[in-house]
Formats: sequence, structure tokens, C-alpha cells
Amino acid sequence: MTKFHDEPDAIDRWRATIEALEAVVLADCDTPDTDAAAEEIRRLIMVLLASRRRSPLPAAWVRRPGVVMPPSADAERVPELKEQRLDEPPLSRRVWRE
Amino acid sequence: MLNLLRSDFVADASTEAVARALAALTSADLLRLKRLAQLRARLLPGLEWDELLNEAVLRALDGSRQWPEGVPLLVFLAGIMRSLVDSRAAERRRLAERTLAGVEVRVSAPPEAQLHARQCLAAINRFFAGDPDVLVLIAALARQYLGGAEGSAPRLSQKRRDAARKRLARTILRGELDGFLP
Repeated sequence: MTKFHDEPDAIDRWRATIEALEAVVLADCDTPDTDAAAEEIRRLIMVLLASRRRSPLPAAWVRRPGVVMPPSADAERVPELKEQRLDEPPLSRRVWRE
Repeated sequence: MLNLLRSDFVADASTEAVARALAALTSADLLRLKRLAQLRARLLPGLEWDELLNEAVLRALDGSRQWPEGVPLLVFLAGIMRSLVDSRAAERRRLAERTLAGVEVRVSAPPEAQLHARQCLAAINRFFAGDPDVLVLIAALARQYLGGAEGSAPRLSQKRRDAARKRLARTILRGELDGFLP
């Protein structure tokens, strides 16, 4: 039979140890050699903040089904694709002429 | 409808405050944030600290977690990471229970999590073997979280306790412990 209860408190003790270490980190006032190590986190946060700015709507706002959004004023007109007819001769390649 | 609109505004105000506070974090705070994520990620084998931190910051920024007034930002983010790790651990436990449904045993945690926890505790003991005051301090602080009484556990004077706390903080913030843990 599988016995997972040999040391049932190992995870609890490890969790409590992590809580203890976190408390020490949060309470500490003098931090050594910060710049190099902090730069990595600064970059990560800047990326997350920048991606947030790209979407100005709050996260709770959703587009409701059935509501048709008006076309935006600066929408580019997409040129219609012209279907090539089979009875038309294929377009000839451009030839250089003097 | 009105409630919904009001909560939208509250979420927006909170996320704006989070964004401003994040942008204003000092290098020392950013380093603390990194170490907090590294420590918390050690609770789940295979979890990457940057993935955890990324997820926590996103939750704070998108308003799915509200930043309570009077709570420091780092404490708020540490709380989000705690809850993310807890929910992932619960998910893994459920999976393990489902896998062993026919074995008639109640699984408190997947076996690899137990092993990982034991290895990490042993690593902490090895790392600070030369500094018993730090080990006493860690044990005393951890006991508070376990809800146990101090009993016959060794106690430190205030002066030695403060000195041990400082040495422990320096060790964690320099990242020495993170490289040592399994």
C-alpha cells in the first residue's frame, strides 16, 4: 500500500519556513547590491505595464453579444479581390520596352 | 447594473494605483519582490519564480485582486503569490487523489511534494549549520505560523535575535539561499 503519511508535516513545516523567511525579507531595511538584480524585475514590470496601457478598457468590461460596433473612422478600405475568369487569357508578364 | 458600474470604477482606481506604485518601486523593493517570488515558488517543485511573479502582477493590474487600503504593495503581491501557489498545490492534490482513487488512501499531498519539502528543510539546516542562531530564529518564526507554542525550544536574547535576523535577510537578498535550495 502507498504510504504518504510517513511524515505528514514536512510540507506544513516547509510552508511555515517559507512564511518565516518572507517575513524577514519584508521587514529588512538595508538591502545590499540591489541594482543588477533589481533590473531584471524592473524590465518585467515595465513590459507588463506597457502591455496594460495598450488596452485602455478596464478588465471587467466586455463586449455584449448582439451589439454591433460601429466601424472606426480611419478604417482602411480593403480592395475587393477580383476573381480571375477562366475564359480570360492569363495576365502576360511585363516586358521591358525601350 | 449600478453596482456593476461602481465596481468597475473601484477596480479601475485600484489598478491605476497598482500601476503607479509598481512603476515607483525602488531597486531595493524590486529585489525584495524577486526574492519573495523565488521563496514562494520553492513550495511547488517545477514552478518557476518569474512565471509566478508575472501572474501575480497581472492579477494585480487587471483588477482581479483588489489592493486593500493600508497594505504595502509588496505584502499585497506576496499575498497574491501565496494564493496562486496554494490553488496550484490544491489542484495537484486533487489530481493525485483522482489517480489513486482505488487505493483507499487519503492523499494529503503528492509524494514528490513531500520529498521536495523534506529536501528543502534539510538544505536549510545544512546551509545554516555554521550559524545556529539563524536556525533558532527560523524555527521560532516558523513555529508562529504553525501555531505551536515555544515550549522548551531554545531562545535568543533580543540582541542575538536582531543580529541573526540581519544575517538571514542579507543571505536571502543576496540570492545565496536560492542557489542552494533544491
